[in-house]
Amino acid sequence: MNEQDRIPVTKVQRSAKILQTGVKVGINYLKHYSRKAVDPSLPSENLDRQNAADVFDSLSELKGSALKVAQMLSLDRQILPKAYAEKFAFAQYNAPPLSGPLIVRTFTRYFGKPPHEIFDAFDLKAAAAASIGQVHRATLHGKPLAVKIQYPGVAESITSDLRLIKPFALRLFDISGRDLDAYLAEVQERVLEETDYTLELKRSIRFAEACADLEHIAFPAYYPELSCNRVITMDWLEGRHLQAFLSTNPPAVARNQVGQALWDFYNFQQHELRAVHADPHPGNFLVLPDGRVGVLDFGCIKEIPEEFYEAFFSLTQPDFTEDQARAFSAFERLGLILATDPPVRREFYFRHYLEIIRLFARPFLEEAFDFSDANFFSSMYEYGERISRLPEFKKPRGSRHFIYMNRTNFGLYNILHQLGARVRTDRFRPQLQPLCNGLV
Amino acid sequence: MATSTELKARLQDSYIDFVLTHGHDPESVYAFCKNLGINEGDFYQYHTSFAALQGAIWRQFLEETTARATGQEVWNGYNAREKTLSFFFIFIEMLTKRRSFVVFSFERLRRPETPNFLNGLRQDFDLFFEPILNQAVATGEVVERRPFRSRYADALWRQLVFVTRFWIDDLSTGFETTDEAIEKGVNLVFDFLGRTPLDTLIDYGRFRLRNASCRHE
Repeated sequence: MNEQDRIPVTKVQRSAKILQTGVKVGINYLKHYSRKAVDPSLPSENLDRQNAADVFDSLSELKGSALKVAQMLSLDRQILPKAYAEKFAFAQYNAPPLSGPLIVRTFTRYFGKPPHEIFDAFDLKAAAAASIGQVHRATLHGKPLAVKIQYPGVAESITSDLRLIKPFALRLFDISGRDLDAYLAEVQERVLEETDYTLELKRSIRFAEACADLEHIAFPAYYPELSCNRVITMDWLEGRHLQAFLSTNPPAVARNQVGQALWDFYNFQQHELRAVHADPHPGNFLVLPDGRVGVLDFGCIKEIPEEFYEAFFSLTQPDFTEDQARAFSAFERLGLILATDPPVRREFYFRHYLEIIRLFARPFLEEAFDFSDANFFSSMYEYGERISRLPEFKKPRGSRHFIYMNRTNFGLYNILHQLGARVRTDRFRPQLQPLCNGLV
Repeated sequence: MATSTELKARLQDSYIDFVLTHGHDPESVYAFCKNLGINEGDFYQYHTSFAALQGAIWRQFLEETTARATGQEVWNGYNAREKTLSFFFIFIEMLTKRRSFVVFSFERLRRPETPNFLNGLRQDFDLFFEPILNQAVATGEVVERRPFRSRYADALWRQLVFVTRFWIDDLSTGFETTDEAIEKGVNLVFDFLGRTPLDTLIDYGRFRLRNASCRHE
């Protein structure tokens, strides 16, 4: 027990901590297998999957954040949302559940009272897992509430996870330490923001207000007086998660409405607010009984810098291929083509990036787009497969802002595909003239 | 005339105040009592020495902890693991109110041994946890392993001392890292006290042994 007596401060102690984290992975395995030896009915899907997967996936078993980085860095190679969204879903539900006493402790610390004295009713058993905590059901003045509670020490473990991932990433991607740091910083910023519930509360309220006029989108009301650094209280939304909604075989009209609501929600944010809910995880949405889509989690917001926005979305304009020089310069500004690349390479990268951007931009070029189109997705899939075999794409390329922009947009496309939705894509189009009323 | 509980509390508070202000025990019980304006004899009614007084303060922490823990609405609904967690969290909350004194008590120890001011606490601790562990054995939450059964409270006690030391060195905001240490540590102990592969292994080993001897004899 001695080695855990103090918080590691020096560099040596910190690297010992990383080792320790590695040991924890081992212990997790051990625990799982030992429990399983006793109780063979225990689901082993987690481990089965993991055994088949590579080194990153074994890290994911422990904590989501290390995996997030790995997946994001390999985005260029596996741009296919399907495969990665699935892993994502898997990575998110790994936090160990909080014990009842710890929840009581958290409340007495922040509110001076146990939850039972604050709410009329409070269920100490979690109703659902959130990415870095869990959600409990409560009632106050007859109103059903959802209380999200964060696991203590999440921020610290994220920071140490990211340190842990670095040596792996350096080797796997053959990337320089400095380049990697830029990506890691981006992810760390976002992920740490997610642990700041005070910030999340503010953003949730602000985004809910800004998006209030969108059709078929609903937000819970938030209760700042019942929230703090570690707790967010909001209305309990009664509805079905997307998967559950789909399993009822809803008619096309219903699916289209959900898809349209999501399309509007994301593109309104990207193009009007220039800041976007960057976590299009299916678990973050509920289909309400009246068909509206409830949005649950504003923990991860990506603010889109003007330079990036302008360069990126200029490529989605109908005329962008006509003007090769302009497109070339946009690629350069996005860091996809570097000044140091030899001319042959420049041509090579241009061709390949053009191909994916053309695919990506297709929904923007038409009035409506049918996301059930399997061809569209298999082209993307095929593209991802192909470039994953090209040595030129081994290193991650491009501006750090791609990490979350890709996650958002391909994540959205993926959800729309799952929904098999046909949506009008002529609403909330990219706007290339500077915006004066951006949010945040 | 002060009642006995009032005097007891006054002795404790004054003692804590003295050691924290001066960094050492009062010169003598006589000097301490004179300062308080009471008879030395009154002091000995409750404590035989400063060491005993210090022990009493720690027992007081535990008493307050158990009173608060069992007074919770949710207490009876908790299983042994949750009761233990709850006890630990509340104990640390209690200590937090007297952190300077706790840190002082540990700092003046010469060697990193189990401090003797915790001795009295240990008995109360065992008394409190024995029924909880018995209940856990009855419900099957904890497995009874004959030769080790008497050491179960020991394991929890060692966790408590560890967590207290951890909390003393904890630099995190609101001592959140200690919460983690409690959550993980207590869960670990209960995972081991519950049925583990080791039990299965021993059981299997016995079986093999029995059968091996059947065949050869």
